[in-house]
Amino acid sequence: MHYDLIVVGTGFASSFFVKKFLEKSSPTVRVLVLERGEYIPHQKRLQDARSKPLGEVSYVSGGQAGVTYKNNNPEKAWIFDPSFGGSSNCWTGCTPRFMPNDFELKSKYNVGIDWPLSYSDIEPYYCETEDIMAISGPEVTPYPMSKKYPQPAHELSTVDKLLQREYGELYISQPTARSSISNKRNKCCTSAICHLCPVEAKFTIENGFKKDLYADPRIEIQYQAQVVQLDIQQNVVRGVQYKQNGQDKKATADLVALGANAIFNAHILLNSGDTNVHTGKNLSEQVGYYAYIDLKDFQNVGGSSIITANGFMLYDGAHRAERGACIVESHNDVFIRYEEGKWRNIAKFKFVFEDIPQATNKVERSADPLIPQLTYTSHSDYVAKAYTHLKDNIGNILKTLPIENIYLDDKYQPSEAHILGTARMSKDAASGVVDKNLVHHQYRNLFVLGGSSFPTITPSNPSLTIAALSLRAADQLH
Amino acid sequence: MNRRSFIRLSLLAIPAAIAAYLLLNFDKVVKRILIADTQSLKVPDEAIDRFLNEAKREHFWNKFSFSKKMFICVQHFFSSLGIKLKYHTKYVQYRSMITGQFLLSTDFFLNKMDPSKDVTYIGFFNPYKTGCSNPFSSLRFTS
Repeated sequence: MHYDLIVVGTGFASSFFVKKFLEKSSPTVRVLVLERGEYIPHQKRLQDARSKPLGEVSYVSGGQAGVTYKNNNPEKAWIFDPSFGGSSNCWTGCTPRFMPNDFELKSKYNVGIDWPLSYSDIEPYYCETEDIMAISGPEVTPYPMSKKYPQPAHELSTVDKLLQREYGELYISQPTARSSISNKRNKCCTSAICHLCPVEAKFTIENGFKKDLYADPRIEIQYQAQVVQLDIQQNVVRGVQYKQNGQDKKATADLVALGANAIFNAHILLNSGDTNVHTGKNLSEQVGYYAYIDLKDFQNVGGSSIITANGFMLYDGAHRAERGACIVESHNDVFIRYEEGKWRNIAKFKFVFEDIPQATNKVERSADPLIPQLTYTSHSDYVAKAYTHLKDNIGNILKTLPIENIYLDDKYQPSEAHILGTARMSKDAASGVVDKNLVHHQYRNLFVLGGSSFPTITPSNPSLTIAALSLRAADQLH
Repeated sequence: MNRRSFIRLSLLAIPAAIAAYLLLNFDKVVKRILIADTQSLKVPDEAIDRFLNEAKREHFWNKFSFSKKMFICVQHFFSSLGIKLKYHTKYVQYRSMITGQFLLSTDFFLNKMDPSKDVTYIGFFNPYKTGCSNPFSSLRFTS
């Protein structure tokens, strides 16, 4: 069977691309979507979690991601959900936009490389993505917005209100795909297990697209179909080879879009003979550290679910010439202090730093064509300098709070669950793998979507930007 | 075995034996923590035992790795002697998690942390089974 378009994966990158592609296409167009996992309905995920002892419930409910790759660094975790909807099933719904200068790190601060597109290029697609996801967010933001968030902001906690008083527009109610009002989804009721929202308040590919987009008769979707490589002749992608239930299969198409994560996009390219020197390199993600702050005679209550606010006071500025930007997450799960009468006199923050990708951290082929091999040594010194600055100044940064004690972790989290880099965007093939429209520099009928395209690793959560980039990429097609 | 080898072996064996003893007593350490941390509250005697039984049934301590359990036991031992070891702050966090899980299994937070009220054990706190369960959020508190 020949298709107009073959899409690999069903996560944010693929699904938003398919949505825009179909909007622009004729009623006769044919699209094949290949999903390596199964379709596991949200209700089944919840039932599974409820039927297990609590200690056996894992963060990812769509299968074991860890068996899909070889990891040379067991201390470094790579978290994703290998099933229909991808990591929309386990994300917490955090959707801050990137800051304008994130796209111009080299020009502004002489660090990393610039993205080949600007904030204004992506801004209309941020608006469209926020509408589709029905994002809740504040009226005042540290980044420019041509359109208000479709849903009102979630309430701030008592701690957040003090910090907002100090930092103004640099400290905001977190923009989020967790509904603040009942609209397309249920209203968030602060369960604080947003990776598997019990009331379906969070946007997922399933609740956003399964019943309409994926029911479009122009789409054929196949499950348990893992794409191994592309068929390429004279720099034109003719189709894909995939494995389904142990059988080798092939399909051909005029256009192919890789929308797997940054591990598997790169792996498919490497299996296909892509010789771009950047393919597979720069595997990266942000680096996060938790801090607990004991508060003197002050209760931290109110606020919404899991992460109530984002602080941008350590984000953009001249310091980025030396050390990484940081986004602050104010957490609101069920943490307490064990001291009598001070049970909730405590705040919990996560400080998430951007990293400069390093070529030594990479995805490579292994002896098994289905299993990539990951080498990750460490994040860069850019992060280490930013952490040291935080350690030296955290008391001053949070001085508006009635601080009793500060406990800043000295060990970073094993993962931020954002896999990025490996097929980066650039102006030309010498400095990256895909162009600003996410089209491969060498194979001009191949899109490489998703977090693999990020040239630099901003501190903000990437999913909103991944979706917006996919809408934009499909919109460039004629 | 010469004297030097004996001393070396002893140096390894003694801490290992202490560690093993402490680990075997993890449940007891948890109980001591809960009794100490809730002594100012009106918690019925059987509530802590019920919690410990249900924690076992829920495999809750699987969330604590072998090394984490060991760490808690060792830190608790020295902490009870008034000695704060390195990484004491991590111990404080883990201890808060344990006590928090217990109190979330009662009506203490639902009663807005009122120490004058009797504390009733409700059932092992499981957010997957009880939606909207964050007792500190805007659903229950105006900030």
